Amino acid sequence: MKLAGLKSVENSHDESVWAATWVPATETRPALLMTGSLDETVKLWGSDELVLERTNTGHSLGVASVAAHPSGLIGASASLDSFVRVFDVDTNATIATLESRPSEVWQLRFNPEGSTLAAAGGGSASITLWDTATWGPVATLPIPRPEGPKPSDKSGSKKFVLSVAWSPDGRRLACGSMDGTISVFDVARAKFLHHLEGHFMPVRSLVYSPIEPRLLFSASDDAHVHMYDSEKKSLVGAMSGHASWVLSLDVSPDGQALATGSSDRTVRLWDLNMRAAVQTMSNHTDQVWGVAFRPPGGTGVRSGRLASVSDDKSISLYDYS
Amino acid sequence: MEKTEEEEESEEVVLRRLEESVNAHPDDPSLHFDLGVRLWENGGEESNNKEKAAEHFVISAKLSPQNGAAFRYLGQYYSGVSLDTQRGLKCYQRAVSLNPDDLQSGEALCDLLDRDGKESLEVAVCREASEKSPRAFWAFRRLGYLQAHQKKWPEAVQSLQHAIRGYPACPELWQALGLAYQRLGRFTAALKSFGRAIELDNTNVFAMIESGNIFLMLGSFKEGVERFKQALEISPESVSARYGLAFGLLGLAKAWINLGAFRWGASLLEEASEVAKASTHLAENMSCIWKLHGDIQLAYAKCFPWMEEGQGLEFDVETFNASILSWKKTCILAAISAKCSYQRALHLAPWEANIYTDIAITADLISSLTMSDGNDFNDWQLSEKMALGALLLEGDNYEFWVALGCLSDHNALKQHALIRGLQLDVSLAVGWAYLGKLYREEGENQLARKAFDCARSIDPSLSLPWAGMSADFNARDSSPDEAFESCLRAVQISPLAEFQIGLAKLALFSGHLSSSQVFGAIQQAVQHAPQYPESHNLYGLVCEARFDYQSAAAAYRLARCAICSFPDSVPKSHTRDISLNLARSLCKAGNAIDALQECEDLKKEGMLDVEGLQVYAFSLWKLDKRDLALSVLRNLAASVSAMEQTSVAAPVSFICRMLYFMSGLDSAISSILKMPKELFQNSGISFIVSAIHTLDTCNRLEPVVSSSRRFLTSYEEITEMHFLIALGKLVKHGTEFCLGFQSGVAHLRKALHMCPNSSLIRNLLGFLLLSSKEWNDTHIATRCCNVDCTDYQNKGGLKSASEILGAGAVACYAVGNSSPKFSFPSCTYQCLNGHGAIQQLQKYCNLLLFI
Repeated sequence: MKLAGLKSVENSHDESVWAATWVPATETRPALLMTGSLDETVKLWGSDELVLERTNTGHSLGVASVAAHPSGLIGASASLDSFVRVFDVDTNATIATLESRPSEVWQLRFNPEGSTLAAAGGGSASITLWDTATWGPVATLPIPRPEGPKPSDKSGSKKFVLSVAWSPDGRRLACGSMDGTISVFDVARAKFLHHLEGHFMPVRSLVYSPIEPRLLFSASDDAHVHMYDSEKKSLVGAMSGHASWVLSLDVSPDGQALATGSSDRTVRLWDLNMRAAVQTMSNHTDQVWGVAFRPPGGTGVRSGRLASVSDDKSISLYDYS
Repeated sequence: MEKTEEEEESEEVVLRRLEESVNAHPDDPSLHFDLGVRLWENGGEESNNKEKAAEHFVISAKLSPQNGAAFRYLGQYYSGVSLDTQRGLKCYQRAVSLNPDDLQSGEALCDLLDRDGKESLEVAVCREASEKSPRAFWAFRRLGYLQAHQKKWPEAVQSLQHAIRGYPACPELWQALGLAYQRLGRFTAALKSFGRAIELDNTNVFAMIESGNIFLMLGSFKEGVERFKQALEISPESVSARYGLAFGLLGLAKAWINLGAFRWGASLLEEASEVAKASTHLAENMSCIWKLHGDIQLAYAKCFPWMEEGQGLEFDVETFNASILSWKKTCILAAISAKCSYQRALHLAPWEANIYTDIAITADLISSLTMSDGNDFNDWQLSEKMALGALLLEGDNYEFWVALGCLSDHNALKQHALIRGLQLDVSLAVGWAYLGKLYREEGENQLARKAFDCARSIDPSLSLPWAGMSADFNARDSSPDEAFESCLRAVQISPLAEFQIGLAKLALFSGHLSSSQVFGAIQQAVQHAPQYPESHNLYGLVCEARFDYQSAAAAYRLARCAICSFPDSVPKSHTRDISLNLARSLCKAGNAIDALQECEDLKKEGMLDVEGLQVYAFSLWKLDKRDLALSVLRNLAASVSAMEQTSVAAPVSFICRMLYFMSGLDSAISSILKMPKELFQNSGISFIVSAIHTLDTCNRLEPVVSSSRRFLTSYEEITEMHFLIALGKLVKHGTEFCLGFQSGVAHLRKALHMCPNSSLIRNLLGFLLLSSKEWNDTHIATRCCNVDCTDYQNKGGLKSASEILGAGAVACYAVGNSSPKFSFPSCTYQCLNGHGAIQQLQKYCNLLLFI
């Protein structure tokens, strides 16, 4: 398993690129890379050559998170003022704007069926679920506070929720907080299940294994990557090697490899069987905010692709094999 | 060091002799000890020598259990050679308990304990030794470090202070002491200790950074900046030193900006921004550095001054607009950069509530700079929303409530937020001040006044309440002077363009236009609000009041350029006023041609009012266009008759003067006689008429003059009128070749009786006495004028007191010297002459030199 640099776009945005995700292929077009940046735009890039397809504006602060609907038709982007814009990927027509309380939207993820959009909810220590048919809020999953309901104490800000992930079967939802804990919810019953502990600094990225629904990976500012059995609330393994915060991670579609991006300006590829870093890419000159594997599907696309985006305003595309 | 063979041989000999004596006296512990030491020190690294030495030490220790040194060597042997830590520990312990001053054993013991992580044992050992002997400085030092490590600062201070007595030149001790003092909040003591540590070791980066931090905390930014620069020279990669440097520069810049030195502040901020930017490359995931960079850029955006590039009169609309645009662009770019930096900070640490407020403030600044009215569908509430974001995270922070109160667009929400802030902290002066401002804007003057009074009584060093107080001086029934004073205070506390413009306006009402404070303030206002015609116009008025007509004209031209940039927002009457100001100052500057041009332009637009007509007539007269000027005067007279009685004085006196200048005495007098009597019921006109009257030998104006003199009221006016009458007497009672000095002097003597302290009259009297041909009264002349230090400013009289004094002295001398046979002439009247007068004159000369 290895990564090979394919293409790099310098100055892809005017400012730091903060978020990246792949829009799955549809019947009419192959998969697209969607990036969000501090320059308040969302850009869509054609694969392999990274041709700029479209620039979407409409945010008044930096775009901190982007998400793509599994159908590949709908995209969502959230800026620092907690303003969520849902749009048609191919026409950039606005489908909905979701207004949340400020500081309450930090990361967005569609569930695998595409019926729900989950937004990690910052200071209120909760996840908000939006129905993708009506674009209304359907549920709020709060993390229970440790000591009784105290509305004005500061434990709320300690539990600041930064990241969210759906299990591949869509039954579980995990969210990572600033204090390093990960909370797991049962989606169907809208019920908090348990905490996963082990990190002691903010957890900025979470992802479930695509082949094993209970295996959860987490990336934290403590420079470690953890592997949890999210059902049995146990730490399966930990992988270390980054010199600074791990900002994002993604699992390859075959479930064999993990890619991470870090403040130490590198992208690392980890072999999950060996639980060790097999490759370190240091082509970025500033911290790497996002890594994303291209989902399989589309016409004639067999090979794996990984994209990484960074504070140095560049996007890099790698061949994964 | 190589040992010579002889020495080696002699050592061999000594060793052998020692061994022999040990064999001879096997019970003498000191011999065993000496032999052990020999073997230990000279035996080299061979372990069997050390072992032999150890054997002897053991014997010596057994025979003489009080010998600490033997135990020390044993400790070294066990811990270093045979690696039996437990035994080593015991031996060291014994050595220390026998001799608590034993530095080597103590340190070795503690090192061993430290290696095993037995911190509490270590503390116990040190404490025991320190209690046993006050000279166990090693123990105090060790104890001090340990206590500092355990954050027991008061104890650490004591131990470290004691240890410093033993090791006064140990920089680490001073450094630790400084740290302990700092943590205890005793900053001056901490600074001294760190300073000593730096003196002893000038590469001590820690002490430099920490003392820099203390300086920043104490607000001594300059010293702090120096310390951080020093630290960076030694360790250029130190992020904390860079952060401190940037922070210090920001603080320094803010201090200068607060004093009004915007350019200096801006250049400091540029430097600070570079330093901060460089440290973000060293540590890009530190949210606080990005926040600092944002703070620096925000301060830059707020303080960057507009600079008048093309000095002088040639400033056309395009260059003015271009310079305004480039100034604005710089500000906006800095604000946008601040917004980006704050966003980076927020992205790294989204739980930091204050960054939300920072973004809110920056967004508000950007929208005010770009004048965007919120055409974007959610742009208008960005600052409001972000301010709410901060409150969501920390709802009990009253500062966030005040920020929301300032940033919101809705008055109801503003009021609610401010009141919430005040509920959380009732003594929040800023909250009261903004509440007062809000009420004022809504017209609730009573409430506004209360709020401002509250704010001022809580914190008198806040500028807004003072400004608010001066703004509603009408409602407070206070005099314009009081309003001016409070506005001046506001300006001095914080140099905001709004306050400064207000100050200049109040100065206009209260007659303080020529004061230096107003001049400085309005100059700064022009730097910060160059897009407002108002600031240029007021600047022009201030310049005019200071007799700098060239600059005034330039300022009025700029004001007109500013109007051209925003033609819709300024009413026509303002344009007219500014053009009129321009014409007047051009006229005063002696540039009659340009002034005439301005007046004609105004005339074309039909906006020439009474004042404009005066300037028009004057400039025409200056350019020798008498007929035109006369016709303008006629127009002026026509419009005067339609005016109200109160404002008629200036144009009427102007007409009288112009008539006199243009058509001579007779026609002026006849015109005056033709005018209605009511027009002359004013003191100003009275002077003009009296002056014309004095020149008229036929006394045709007698009735007009006597009736108008009734309107002289103030003391100054009356003395001046006496002055004028005396001059009139000189003219009227004089002959063709000689003025009527006698009658003039007689009148002045009477007048002086009424106004004894008027220097104007005194000086004239002295002058007249000297001028009269008889020279009998020269001694009186020197006596009747008095020189004081304010005299040099007095431009009213014909001659200054000093001139009269000097001339009087000379005259006395000349009179006294009329009979040349006396070698020492003196004034016959024995009055102030010679020495006295000369001394006074010298004193006065010195004074003038200093001024």
